[in-house]
Amino acid sequence: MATFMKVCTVLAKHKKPLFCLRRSNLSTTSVLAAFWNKDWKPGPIPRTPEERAAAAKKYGLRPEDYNALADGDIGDYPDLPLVARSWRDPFEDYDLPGEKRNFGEPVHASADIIGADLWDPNADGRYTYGQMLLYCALTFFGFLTAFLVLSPYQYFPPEMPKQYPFNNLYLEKGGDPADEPEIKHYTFKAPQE
Amino acid sequence: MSDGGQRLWDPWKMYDAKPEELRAMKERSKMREALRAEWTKKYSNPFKSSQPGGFLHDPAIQRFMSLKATQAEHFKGTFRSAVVAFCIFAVPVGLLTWGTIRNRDFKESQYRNGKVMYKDRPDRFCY
Repeated sequence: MATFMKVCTVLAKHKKPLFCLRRSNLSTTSVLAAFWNKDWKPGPIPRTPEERAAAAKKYGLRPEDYNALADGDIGDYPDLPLVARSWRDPFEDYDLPGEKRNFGEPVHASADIIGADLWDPNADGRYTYGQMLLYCALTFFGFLTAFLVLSPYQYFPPEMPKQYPFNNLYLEKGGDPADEPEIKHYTFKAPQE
Repeated sequence: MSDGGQRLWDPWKMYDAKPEELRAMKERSKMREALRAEWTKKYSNPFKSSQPGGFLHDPAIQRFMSLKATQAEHFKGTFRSAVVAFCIFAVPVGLLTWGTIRNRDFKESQYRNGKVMYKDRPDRFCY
């Protein structure tokens, strides 16, 4: 009862509806360490040597190592060699050994596909694409041909026809009760020699 | 080559690399040393877990993330991209729709005209 009265007095004092409270006792959220994409996204392709040097410095590369893609899909993001992560030296002392990467090292634009267990652009060689296509087509059409050629020759496990009770369900199938045949599926008599 | 102990070149100092490559490697390792020092300082900070953010900010990863988030802004519609989109989206969907509707209409006309026994319906086990 006492808490009920307290609640009533508190609610009476704060006449504004709860969802309109501007000042609340909870901590206000503030944008502390947010990184906005507009500050970190790649800029336009550099044209002059000074722009190239500045872009190289931004991405942590030497100006001689820095190359931007010409068609501008990624702006001034560096065009690094497309090498799979599995080709990195496994014994080097990395800052992030799980990623085989050092802090601040530029990340390839397609890094999500050239991961350690993912695509290796230089791994082709065992079979050419033509061979792969040929073997898939042969397998698929081989099975199809076998199915079509052999489908007239169906095989069923050897079975007697199913025996139904009540004279093969003669009455249930709408037979005339007057001439109901007597069908015996078994007999307890010993077989005659 | 054996000259009484006198060597023509020092194997500990001469490398199988052109001078430009050697200079490039030295410059790269200098940049990496600076980054390594920054990483060690930040990683070994005993109060790093009380800093805002919850992770050690790597500018290279941040730039990659921002690239992936804003990559669509650089899209330019060309004839080739339109053809690709048409072949991936419009053609299969259109063909399947047309084929399905044609097949369903055929079956419906067969059923309604009494051409198929109930026990012989091809889709009696599933719709």
